[in-house]
This record gives sequence, structure tokens and C-alpha cells, in this order.
Amino acid sequence: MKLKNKEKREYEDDGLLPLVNIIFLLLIFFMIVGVIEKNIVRDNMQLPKVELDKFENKDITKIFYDADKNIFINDEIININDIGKKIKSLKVTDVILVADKSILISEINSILLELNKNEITNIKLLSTLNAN
Amino acid sequence: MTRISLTPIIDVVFILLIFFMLASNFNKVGELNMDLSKESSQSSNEDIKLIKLIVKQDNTVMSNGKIYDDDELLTMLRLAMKEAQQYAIILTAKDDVTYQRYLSLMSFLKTNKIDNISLGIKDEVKK
Repeated sequence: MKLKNKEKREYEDDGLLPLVNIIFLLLIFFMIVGVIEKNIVRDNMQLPKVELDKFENKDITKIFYDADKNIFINDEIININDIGKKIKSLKVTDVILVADKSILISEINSILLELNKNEITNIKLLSTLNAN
Repeated sequence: MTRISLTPIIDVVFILLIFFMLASNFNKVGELNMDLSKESSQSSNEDIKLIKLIVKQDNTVMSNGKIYDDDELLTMLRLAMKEAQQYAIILTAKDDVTYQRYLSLMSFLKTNKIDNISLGIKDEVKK
């Protein structure tokens, strides 16, 4: 009885090797260069483009002021008249201000006034170091 | 010899790649520290020379009724800093000045080693 020769399997995957190489390269690129971090900037907000010292994200109260003139303290939307009350209830001395680049300084002035009245001693102002 | 099929490897690597592409964040954020407590203490100290600057949107700055561009401002400030032993710069702005313009000027001053800058917070209630 003749034994059937085992059929030579054709390995069709050989043509995929260059694709696998490229995919691995992209994967290594994103693993090394990308930073997995929550985006500090809310939607509808573009930070001013100014060269400043690199921001180190710490667990500090953040005040957001977007292009639609909505104010948020951390994730809670708030009225400008209630900022003082909220800041007082949080009992903080440091705050990060994240504001859209198009906001007028007179509007930010109102927030700064409230913060100054409520014993905030240190404010961090944020900017983007990338081209928009 | 047994050969490993590449198809499952490609599937897993694709999934990892898509995960990292979506989860990665390339935004670089800069910060500028402002000490609000300085302003009130400096204005009450009589030995400190206060230099008040009014920022305008057209890339100029007004001080004591005179208008300066960036280079002239630097020259004026360096001269004022030499003449005074202690100084403080108070930065206020016209109402049409954007946050971008204000922060750019603050960064410009800090880059040129002009420190001791305070935010000029206008108290509208007092007016």
C-alpha cells in the first residue's frame, strides 16, 4: 500500500511578513512616544499657544473656561457668581486655570477676583506647546 | 517542522496598535505659576517701585502714558529695574485683550528674565 505523501502545505502567510514588520514598528512607536493620560483640555477649548515650562499634572482643583463662556470647576458646570462659594467649600489654596485662548482678559479677571477673595494664593495658567 | 501561523499574531498586534493609537495623547501642555498673594503685599510696601503696564491687543504695551513695542518695553523695564533696588511689575490689560495676548506677553517677559510680575486684578466693586 502506497503511503500518500504528505501534501506539502503551502505557507500563504509568508507575504504578510513585511506587513507584520511595519505594524510592530508602529506599535513600538506609539508605546514609546505616546503618553496614556487623560486629556486635560475639554472639548470646545483651545489653549493659548505659548512656550512655558512643562506642565506636571497634579491633583489640583481645575477651573475650565471654554470658548462658549461655560465655567467648570473640575467637571461641574458653575455660574460665575457661585465660584467663590464653591472654592470656599473645596478649601484649596492652589488652582489651575484652563481657559480658551479667545477669552477676553476682562472675563478672566472676574474669576481671578473671586479666587483672590477666597484665599487662593497660587494659580497655574496653562498653554499648549504644540501648534494648533 | 511545524510553522506558526501569522494570522493570530497580526490580529493581536492590530488590536494593540489600535488601542495605543486611540489612548495615546501627544498634547504637550505648559504652565505658568502666578502667586496671587504677592500683589496685595507689594502694593502696601512703600520701598518697592511699582511698574504698571497696560497690555493692548495690538502687540503694544502702555506705561505712564507712553506706548512701547516689545523691544522698547524690554529696554524700559531693564532701565527701571536698574534704577530701583526693589521693583514689582503689575500687568493689567485693556478690555479687548485676549487671554492669548496676555499670556504671550507674560511668557515674553519671563523668557527675558523679567520676573516679579503680578496679575493686575481689577476690583470692579471698588470703582
